[in-house]
Amino acid sequence: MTTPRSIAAGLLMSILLAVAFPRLLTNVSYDRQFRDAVDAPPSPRFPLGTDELGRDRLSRLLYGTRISLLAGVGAALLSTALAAVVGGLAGFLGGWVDRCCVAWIDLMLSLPWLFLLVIVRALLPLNLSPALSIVVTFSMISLLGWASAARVIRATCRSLRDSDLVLQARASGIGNWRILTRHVLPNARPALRGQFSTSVPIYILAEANLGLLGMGVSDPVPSWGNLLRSLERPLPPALAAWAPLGLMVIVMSCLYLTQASEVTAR
Amino acid sequence: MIGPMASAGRRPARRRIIAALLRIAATALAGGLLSATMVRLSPGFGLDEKQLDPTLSSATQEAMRRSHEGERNPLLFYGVYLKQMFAGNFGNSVTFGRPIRELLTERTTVTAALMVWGIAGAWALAALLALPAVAGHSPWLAGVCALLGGAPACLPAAGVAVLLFWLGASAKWMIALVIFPKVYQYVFHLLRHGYASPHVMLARAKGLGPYRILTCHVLVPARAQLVALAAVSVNLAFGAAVAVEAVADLPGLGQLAWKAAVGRDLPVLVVLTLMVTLTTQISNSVADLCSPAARGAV
Repeated sequence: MTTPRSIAAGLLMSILLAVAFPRLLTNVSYDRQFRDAVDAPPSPRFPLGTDELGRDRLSRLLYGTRISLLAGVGAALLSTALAAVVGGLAGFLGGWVDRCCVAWIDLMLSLPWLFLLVIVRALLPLNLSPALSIVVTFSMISLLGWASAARVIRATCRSLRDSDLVLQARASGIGNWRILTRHVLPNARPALRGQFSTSVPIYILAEANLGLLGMGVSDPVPSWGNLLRSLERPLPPALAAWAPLGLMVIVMSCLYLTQASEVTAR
Repeated sequence: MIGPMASAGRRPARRRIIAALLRIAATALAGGLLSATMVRLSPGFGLDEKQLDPTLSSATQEAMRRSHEGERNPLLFYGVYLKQMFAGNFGNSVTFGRPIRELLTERTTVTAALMVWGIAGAWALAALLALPAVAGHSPWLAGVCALLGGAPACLPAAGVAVLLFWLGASAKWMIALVIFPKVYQYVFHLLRHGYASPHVMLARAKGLGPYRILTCHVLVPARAQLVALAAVSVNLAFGAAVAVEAVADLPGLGQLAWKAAVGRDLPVLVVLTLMVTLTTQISNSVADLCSPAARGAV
């Protein structure tokens, strides 16, 4: 691993440790309000200050990162699984199944990602409970984000369909379903892994976008979306900079590591 | 011999163009139907808070309930709506209480201007950063350019727009900065690939100047990919326009899409989806036709 990638891996590991054990850094709950300290500047009591409702920014940052990372990984898993099913069937079976799947993929890709997200999210109920809003937001992101991954997996499965190993499996009398699940998809694992790792930062950013437009995870549960909403008010940089900086560090580290894994795979 | 051969060569080309046009039309129509179905199935569709107003008579409330009757079946609604649309009647917006044609006329110019400026700005920024990164032969310079090119990609589009809003930047620059990282990545890789190719090394060895190498030996072979990237930029710019117009409160198509979605304005959403799908499909098809490989095939 080169130096920038080692730095990225180190940063991501420290962030993961911090969000896995937030009690090591703060004892305050993310939704506890300190009415005597609204919009307080950084101090020993509140290292990153408090927000407009008097909630500890450090605690919200840690719990928000944990939720966004966990949900982002979950959404990426779901969307990669969907992409594997659609792309795998299209690439392996070919014919009319392939044509239908390609048309569906083309349709999904011809609509700009953010346009689609905003429209679908706005059509779903907005007054959900915080826990349900996490599930709805990230499920929707994964259900709308599988198309580009499916295209890559379709191409991989298509090339595998014409490979010697599948020909041999066919000659041995193995059925289509078994060939797909036992021989084609396992061999498409590098493509699946690549799509999964690329999706995680994209989905975290998608939730942040929706949150900034008021359509993401509901308060008081913190997420990158509603943490970044504090940017809508004029705040001193010492208070406002932490959330965007944290998000940038996480996404940049993920991108660096994704590139590193792609280089290693090549 | 030449005549029949030429007409035989032209026939598949014509067929290919007709197939592309049919595909564009089918995708756009499917996009419109998809949005109509999604709106129809969304919870709370057809409900109006005015129906709870006790001062309204039962006849008025019944009339309000019946006003959505035509939209209950999405297929039926879509068929009737398309027929009206082809006759030039786009209907009225429920959220804005105005004819959709008027809304589109007003807002298309705003968004189109933003997108054109944004795409031009993003390409200019990408070229300004990618050229020194590739041609500079300095790992430090390449690292700094990669950092500058990658940093905006690590923030959501709406976040970039909010930050630039506080810095007093115009919406054109917001769109430019949102799509710039994606354009930069592609341009950087294309240039790096171009500069590393053997014919460029030969041109260098022959003592050709850097300007001539760039224009004649790097950009010309990469023109097909650059045209394709230009088509992708249109899609990216529209996505960015949704976030930027919502954040900067600009009366464009992006803001219209956002407000129509929140207000579950079925006719507006159908027209917008058709427009966006058509624009994306047409820009992609034009890029395909402009690319030398496609022209060779035709």
